[in-house]
Amino acid sequence: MNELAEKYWPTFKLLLLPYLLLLFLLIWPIDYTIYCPGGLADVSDTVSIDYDDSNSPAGSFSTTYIMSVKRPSFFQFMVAYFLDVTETYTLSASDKTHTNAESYQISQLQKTTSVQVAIVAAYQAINAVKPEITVVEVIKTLVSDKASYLSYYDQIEYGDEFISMVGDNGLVLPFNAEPGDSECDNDADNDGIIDTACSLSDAIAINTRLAPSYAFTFRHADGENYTLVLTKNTDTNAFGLSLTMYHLLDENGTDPDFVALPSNIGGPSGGLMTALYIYDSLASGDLTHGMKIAGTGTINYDGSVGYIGGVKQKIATAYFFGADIFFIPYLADTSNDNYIEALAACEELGINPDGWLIGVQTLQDTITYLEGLGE
Amino acid sequence: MTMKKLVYEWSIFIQEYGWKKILNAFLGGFVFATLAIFPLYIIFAEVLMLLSYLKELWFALIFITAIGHIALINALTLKALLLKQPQVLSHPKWVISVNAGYWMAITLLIGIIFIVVFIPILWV
Repeated sequence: MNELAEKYWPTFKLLLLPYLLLLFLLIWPIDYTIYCPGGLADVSDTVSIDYDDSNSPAGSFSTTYIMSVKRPSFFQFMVAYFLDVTETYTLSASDKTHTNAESYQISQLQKTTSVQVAIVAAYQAINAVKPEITVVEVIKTLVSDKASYLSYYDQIEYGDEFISMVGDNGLVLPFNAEPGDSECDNDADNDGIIDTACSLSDAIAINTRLAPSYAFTFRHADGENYTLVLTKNTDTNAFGLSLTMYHLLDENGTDPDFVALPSNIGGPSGGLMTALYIYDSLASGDLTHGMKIAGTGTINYDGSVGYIGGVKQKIATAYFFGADIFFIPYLADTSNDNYIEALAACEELGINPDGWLIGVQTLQDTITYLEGLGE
Repeated sequence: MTMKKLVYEWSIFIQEYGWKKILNAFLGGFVFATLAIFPLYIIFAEVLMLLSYLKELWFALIFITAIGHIALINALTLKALLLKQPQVLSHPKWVISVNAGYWMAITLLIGIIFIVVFIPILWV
């Protein structure tokens, strides 16, 4: 070893600084996020429906995922800057406070709830044709985010259900449950359902003015309830908890059964394609017509479609992987609409959008479009 | 090339240099080759993260880099051995070349299996 060191010492001395500089460029992370093309994920790999008459489509339905590189190196940033298919953004405040593990948990929660909402939307859509297919939805308020200053941070898990909290004026319940004594209880028609209440976070804020700590009750995924006394952060005057209301499935009242298969792909943007795949599995006929159908867009329980991010990368991904049709939310003629963004991306990437890029507002729009192809 | 010749050359080579010198030369070769090649691995891995839809290409380049890494380790090991003891009766160049060829072929095989078999199975 010494012989080599002696022989190459002059070269080593000369290259040391450039070498260290190169390593710095390759390793030092910067506060940016890079969106990159990802891939297509066949929906049949993520959801399985236990239905005797389910058909196997000749083509396929795929969700489109992109890769997000958080805190890239200088080198990655420079490469991404010059590529057509990537986009760089400064790291969002939420990204700065979340570790990769937390971001993954959040995206998995979004995926899980999105699949359930997709099943609700698809079962409701097919129920009109096949009444034996039924779905019962339940509304749950889940822990969707946690701040680092949240008391009992480790005990409260992403996806735990908020049951209640004991506020200054009594019990604060999620609004889907029986109304409590909250100031926000605005049960104007006295039917036991809160109609125009303020948000749950407002209800909690209004009912937690007098003391620094309050008892909150949650339910773990395994069904066990637990109560913790959470203390407000003195700087933010908040508990550090985000609660989001979801329309989910009551598996007891849902027929046929389904199995959500594990996948590393997270986020809610596969909702539309998941709902479309489930609808096609349960419906008579084959909506794919042998084509590779891809798309993106969140789905709501009523079948309406919602916006997603990373439009350009998703367009590039679908095109690179040979999708025959690409569905995307088209909700308004504004520059930040997904469809309008997608048209611009197609022009930039040299993709002909005619007959390939299809803007939709609802699940029914996609079904109607695909049914129309068979005529 | 027969196995008999290979065993014979190796035994002469080990006898002449001794394990200590060979391992010392290999350590030097490994350290210097790794210092030289390390940035390339990072570059391809980082570009792979950005352009994962071309993952087969980037993994192929990573495995080619690994093959180059092996070649460089062996070349520097040979260089170190010859610097330690220039006059020898054995054929260190031949022995090291066979060693390099063997490990490069193994790496190539692993690379092909990884790209053709494992990427389609494991990738998301």
